[in-house]
Amino acid sequence: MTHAPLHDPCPDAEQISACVDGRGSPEAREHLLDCPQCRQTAEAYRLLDTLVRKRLAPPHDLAQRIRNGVARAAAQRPVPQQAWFLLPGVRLAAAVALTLGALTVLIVALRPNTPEATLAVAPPLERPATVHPPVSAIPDPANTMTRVDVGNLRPARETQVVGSGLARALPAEFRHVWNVEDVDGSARLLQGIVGERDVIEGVEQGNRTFTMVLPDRDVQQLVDRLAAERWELLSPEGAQPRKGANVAFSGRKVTYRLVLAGR
Amino acid sequence: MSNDTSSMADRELIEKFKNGEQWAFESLVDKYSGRAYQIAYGVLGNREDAEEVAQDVFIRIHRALPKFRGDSEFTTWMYRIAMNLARNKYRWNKSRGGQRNVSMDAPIDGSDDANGRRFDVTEPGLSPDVRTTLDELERQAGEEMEKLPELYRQALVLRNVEELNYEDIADLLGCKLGTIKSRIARAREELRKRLAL
Repeated sequence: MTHAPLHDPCPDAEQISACVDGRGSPEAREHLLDCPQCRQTAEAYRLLDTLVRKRLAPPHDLAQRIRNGVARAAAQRPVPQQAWFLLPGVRLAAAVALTLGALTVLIVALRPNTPEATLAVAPPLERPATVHPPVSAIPDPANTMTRVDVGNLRPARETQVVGSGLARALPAEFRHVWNVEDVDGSARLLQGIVGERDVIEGVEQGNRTFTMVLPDRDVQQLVDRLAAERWELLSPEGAQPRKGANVAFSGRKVTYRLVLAGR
Repeated sequence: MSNDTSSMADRELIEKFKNGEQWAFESLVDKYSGRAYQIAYGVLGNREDAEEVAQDVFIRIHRALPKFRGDSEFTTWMYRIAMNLARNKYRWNKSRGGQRNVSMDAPIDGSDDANGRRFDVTEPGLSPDVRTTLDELERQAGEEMEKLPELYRQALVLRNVEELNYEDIADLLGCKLGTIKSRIARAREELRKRLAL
């Protein structure tokens, strides 16, 4: 590729291409400064890159479509139930119980066997504090959040609880008021997220509402997703963003109403 | 393939997902679905197939992520899955009588251009003549790119995927660095000649 006899021999296409990517030799880079024709070639390559990048632009709703596709695929395959004793909260509680038990034994062994010392021995913890109720044991309160005392219940395989603490069942019906920047845009986003699910639209005190029936696990996922979109949750009832740790998910369906309030 | 801050954020997201926080997986989709699509596009040369592969990539990742040990970066892992699935799709298309070719302007899934699928290099404020010229160039570039030899097109497309450098491309395509450099240059030069730039 020789463009101008007054200049050094022009670099080949590979050298010019490398210069466009910031990988050309010092000689080639210097040549480009002096040779208008090689510079024009480099500019053409840059323009082509721009056109390629435009062509590569993914559909604007690609991520949403993929999320929907993943959700559909996940719903179609059996979800392996994590053994309750492997849940992070349970493991932590078990570790604490073991440590306390070991300390207690150590204290007893090191102290004289007086009546006071005997009284100081704590009863061994029979099982971790975090035990989760079977679905049938979860009360089904209306409109209020209920704490479920799981003191006398055994863990149930069909109930999945994430995290530690008292497990809370979602009410059969509850509502969230979300504060959003753009109500119409947020409504469209919501419709994109919930996809083909049946949603009943309405108005409550001038605010748009969306009511749907969905499994309690999906409610938590939806709430997390909306929080990730920077929606601000005003009502502290029901599932909380990223705080699903204390919610007992049983897969039962709940009625969830969203109220969109503009900022 | 990614900087330290990004890979640290990825590791945190993966841990959160492993702890049952589904939103963390969705964040990974938001962050990387475009790149999966672009890699697939580089191999397949059409949008419909690229989108299908991108979706498969994340279905696989969703299934396998609980067992992901983090020996490599998430992006490295994701890029390899995308490349492998795209190659499988390419072979499948070929075995069925050649890959499908979707025109640059063809709507996908019956949707229309208002959905933003058609790219547009025009900028507001350009004169109608300039806009027409750019539109035409854009259309021709798309057509010619699809006609490029597969190896050249792959290299050029991957070069234009965000954050992929020569080394990443060589790793993905299983080639030497010099080969990648040469293929990118040949693709550019070929397109430049065909478009008379």
